[in-house]
Amino acid sequence: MSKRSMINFAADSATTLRYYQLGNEPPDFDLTANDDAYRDRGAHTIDRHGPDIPLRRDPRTKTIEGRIYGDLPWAASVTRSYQWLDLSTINREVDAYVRLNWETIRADLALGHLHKGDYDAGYRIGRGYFNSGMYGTGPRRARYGETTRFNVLIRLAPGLVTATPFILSAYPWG
Amino acid sequence: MESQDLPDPLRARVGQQRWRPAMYRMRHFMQSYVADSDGTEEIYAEVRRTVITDASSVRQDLEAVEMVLKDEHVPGTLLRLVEGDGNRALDHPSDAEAAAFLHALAQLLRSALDQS
Repeated sequence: MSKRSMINFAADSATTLRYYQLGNEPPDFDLTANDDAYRDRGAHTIDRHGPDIPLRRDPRTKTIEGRIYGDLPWAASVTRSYQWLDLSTINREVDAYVRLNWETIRADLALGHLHKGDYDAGYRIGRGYFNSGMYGTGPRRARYGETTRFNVLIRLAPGLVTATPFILSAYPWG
Repeated sequence: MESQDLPDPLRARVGQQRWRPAMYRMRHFMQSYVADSDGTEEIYAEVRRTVITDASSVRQDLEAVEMVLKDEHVPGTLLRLVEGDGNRALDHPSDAEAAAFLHALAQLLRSALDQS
């Protein structure tokens, strides 16, 4: 076996092991516990999209609207910034997404990829702002909106012997 | 990622991802790594994590960015990639500024791959 073939065989073996460790049964997530456990690894659903973040722009603190303008402490300005309506909705809808898409999530994680998915809950799950001047149609201006849709980013926790997924972010998206 | 020895569902997923058109792959990258990031350092850190487990998929992402930048597009296409899929608000929204953002992103990917 050539050196390259041996490397590929080892990579395939590790991928296959992760796939079987992840198992047939989708995990349940509690986003508060998830973010507490994996904050150092970048988990940020509650920190950036939690229901307790002040909604309206206020230069004294981090707000959902302020992210449109890149107000401190946000590092970048965005075209859409939303928060979840409440914690139980986050957990319920993220679990629903994971259950419905587990085979794809499992494959992406086993392959070592960042899994990205989107889902329409079919009812109002988030609120926030979009930049009504995006695509160069006018000056940057935050406009309020509500949404039924969200995006999910899922990763494998680093450094564990058993493949363990965590939610990097789940965020309403208008 | 070579895939001869993988279980069927994984081989199917690899094949599905490998043959995505460049624009599709580019949009997926923007939605995955850029849209909810808070600055370039975070994008770099996440890309590095993928490089460690599957550098070939990051190379394909880089090829997609380079191809999208090389191709001609209907006006507004690059701007929608950055401000729409990437959720990044540009100071002076235009295809030229969006192209500059994507060039910087390509450089970030090269740098992340160079570390492997």
